[in-house]
Amino acid sequence: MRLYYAGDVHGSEKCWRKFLGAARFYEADTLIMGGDITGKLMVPIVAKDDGRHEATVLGRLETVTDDGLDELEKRVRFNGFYPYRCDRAEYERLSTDREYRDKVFTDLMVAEVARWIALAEERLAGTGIRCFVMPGNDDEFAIDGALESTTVVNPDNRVVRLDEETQMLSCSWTNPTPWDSPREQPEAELLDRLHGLAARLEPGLNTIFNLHCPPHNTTLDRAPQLTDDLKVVLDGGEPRIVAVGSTAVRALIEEIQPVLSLHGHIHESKAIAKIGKTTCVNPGSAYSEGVIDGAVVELRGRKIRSCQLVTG
Amino acid sequence: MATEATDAPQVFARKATGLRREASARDVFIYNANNQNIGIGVAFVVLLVPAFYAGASMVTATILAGLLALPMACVYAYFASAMPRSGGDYVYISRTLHPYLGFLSSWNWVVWLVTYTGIPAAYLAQYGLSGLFRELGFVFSSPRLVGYGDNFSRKWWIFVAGSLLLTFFAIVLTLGTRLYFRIQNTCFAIAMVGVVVGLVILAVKGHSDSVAGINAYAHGLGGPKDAVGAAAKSSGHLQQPGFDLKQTMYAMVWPLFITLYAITSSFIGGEVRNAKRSQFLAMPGSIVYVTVLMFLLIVGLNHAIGTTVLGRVGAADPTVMGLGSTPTYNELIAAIVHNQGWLIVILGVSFVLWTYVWLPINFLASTRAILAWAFDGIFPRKLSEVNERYHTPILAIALVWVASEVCLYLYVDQIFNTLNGIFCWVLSFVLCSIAAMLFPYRRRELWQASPWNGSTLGVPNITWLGGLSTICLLFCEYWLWYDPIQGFDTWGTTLRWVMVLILPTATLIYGIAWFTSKQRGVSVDKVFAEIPPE
Repeated sequence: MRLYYAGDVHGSEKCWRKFLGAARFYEADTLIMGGDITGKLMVPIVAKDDGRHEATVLGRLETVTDDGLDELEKRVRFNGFYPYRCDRAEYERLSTDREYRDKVFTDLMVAEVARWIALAEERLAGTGIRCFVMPGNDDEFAIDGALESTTVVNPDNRVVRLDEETQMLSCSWTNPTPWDSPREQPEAELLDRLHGLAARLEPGLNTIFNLHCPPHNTTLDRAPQLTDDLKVVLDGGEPRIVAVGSTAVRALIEEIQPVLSLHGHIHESKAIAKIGKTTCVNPGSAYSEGVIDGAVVELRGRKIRSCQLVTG
Repeated sequence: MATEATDAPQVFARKATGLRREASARDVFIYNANNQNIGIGVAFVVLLVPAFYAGASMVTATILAGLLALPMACVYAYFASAMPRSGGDYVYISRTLHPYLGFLSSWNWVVWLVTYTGIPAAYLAQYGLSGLFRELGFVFSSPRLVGYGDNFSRKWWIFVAGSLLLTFFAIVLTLGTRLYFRIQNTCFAIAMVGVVVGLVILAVKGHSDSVAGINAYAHGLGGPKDAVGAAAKSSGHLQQPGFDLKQTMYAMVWPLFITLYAITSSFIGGEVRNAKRSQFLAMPGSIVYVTVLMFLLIVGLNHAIGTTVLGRVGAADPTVMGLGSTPTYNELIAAIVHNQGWLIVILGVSFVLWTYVWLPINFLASTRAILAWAFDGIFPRKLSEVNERYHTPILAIALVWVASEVCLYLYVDQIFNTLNGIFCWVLSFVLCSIAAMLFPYRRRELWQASPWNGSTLGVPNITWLGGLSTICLLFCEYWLWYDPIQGFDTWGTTLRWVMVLILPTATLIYGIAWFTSKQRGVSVDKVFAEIPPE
């Protein structure tokens, strides 16, 4: 079995399209998206009285006519942002009404995820390529319903079979972050959750973990330390790098010793590491450039024949 | 499409990880300013230009070096904002031109990074400890300390001191970068105090005070009463003719050695907040900062000591002054205040802390590059393995340590000279500038999505900038090649072989990586290649 794993595309449509094309490009038979698929920013494109539209893209105000709208939206999506067309009155409401803004943002995310899954259906149906798409800690629960289709499987919080001899345990939840994102919980609760999932593993099968959060104190979980007000702690002008992964995830890997453990979450900690007999992988993420960082892993029986980080 | 300054609609962010986990503009500015070496830069300029480039203007050469480095710094700052991830031109060139060219450039970088990990190890004894011990010997009237100072300018003393320093930093980097940055932070602050003290002394002392001070200092170390006169005689009463533009251009290669290296924050590009603003402040901005400080020191030295005396001291046999080696500008400033021991100690200690700066920075950068190659499958995966306890790549550190020891020896044995690698190194900057010219045509979507995507006369601004940078760098290459002191004619056989072998070795390594990765199922071309999105 040859699988392609990537994560943390954060709304980048270009990365999503590349993900769908990765199976053919790397001759893989299985695609796994490891979480954090939705974007972080909504970009209102506001209709003006003169018939034109304006939006702030990457800190710069841009004004376009109707003809330029599609091109503007394409560039907004390229960066992993969500374009949202509205008039000035609705923009004012978005600015002042938090509840309304959250609802619009969520609806927008769900609609975009549904569109992505439809695209996956169109590209992968009938190809025989297995495709697993899991949310991550940054993804709101509202998108979960949009993730399932006849071709795409959401493996979150369960154990699924990849083939006759391989099973995959998946979990989108992480340990606490400074941002209080939707799917995070204290280490003890996370460990309980993971143990509950591990209880469903079938003995005698090859096991792969697909856990959004990386294990603690490895090269997969190195990130800048932050102050309480979310500023980077610096030593001599250089960010102080600390381990931010989960102790619960590490404990489960040490206990079960799967052949392969796939992770994301920490974009800057691209690495491959060993914990006992387990090969742990975090391919990192550069979604804002329209580049998808991934890993191509070839499994032969109970062994990893090759594990290669790729930048697509 | 138009850009207006009206009541602009704002974007809305939701609660999610990673929105603010980055270094600020001020942080990366300090990082780059720190990585340029004001002290050793001025030392080279003052030690060599008046003595060996008759008629050259140190001030003009320094300003020109700053101006010529600016377009390249802008190119790197642009790339760092368009592709805000760590890795520098390895990433930029791979993505824009071809992965092989990215590796070739990176390989060239690492060859010279390792070379300039070894060479600055020698500077500790050669320029730092020799002067410091002489100064301490003067302050404490200790011939033994003076003797140590003279010994530190000898071949094997330089090698042993440098070797110990390399080993020290290999251990520090093995223990983790956090310890290193603490050391660097402290040392930088002390070194800057020395610069400020030196500037104040130069501002308040006149020419006659300075000459008297140098004479008294040299006499105190066992030299003649008129050491400046002895230096004049030894140098053949070297005179400075009127301004000579050609000599000034040759002399420019020394400050270029400093200003061309304001781009180190491109290697930590993934950590920088608001890259568009921060990287432009950190790269071109730090060149301006460093050039201004070098300018002030040089003007101060011209004012207090004078170009003629500096030239004669630089060209003279130092033993006629009673010194074991030619004094740096810092030792001359210390001599001016010879009757104030505490000032001499501050100047001596602070200057030592400039001499080592490049060593750990280059050491760290080269191990990072080796790690990146190992991850990408170009180097054996074994080299990417890190120590469980310290999370540092011990094998990569060991490899760089051994190679740097060899380079230290080659320098001490005078097979390599100070500027010898810069010509080849600049070729990587040229390649990156060419990549900038082609960027809008090769990566149109990325260029359009970048924060600086304007055009002038129908040609993208980054193309203009890349062109200007290429021209400036090739102009610098001309003077580096023909520099009579360390240009092509002075390069030894070993150095020429190293330069010639960079291209074939890079090609061979890439070819082997391509073949072995193909055997495993993912060829190295695909490791970097863009997946067609449609």
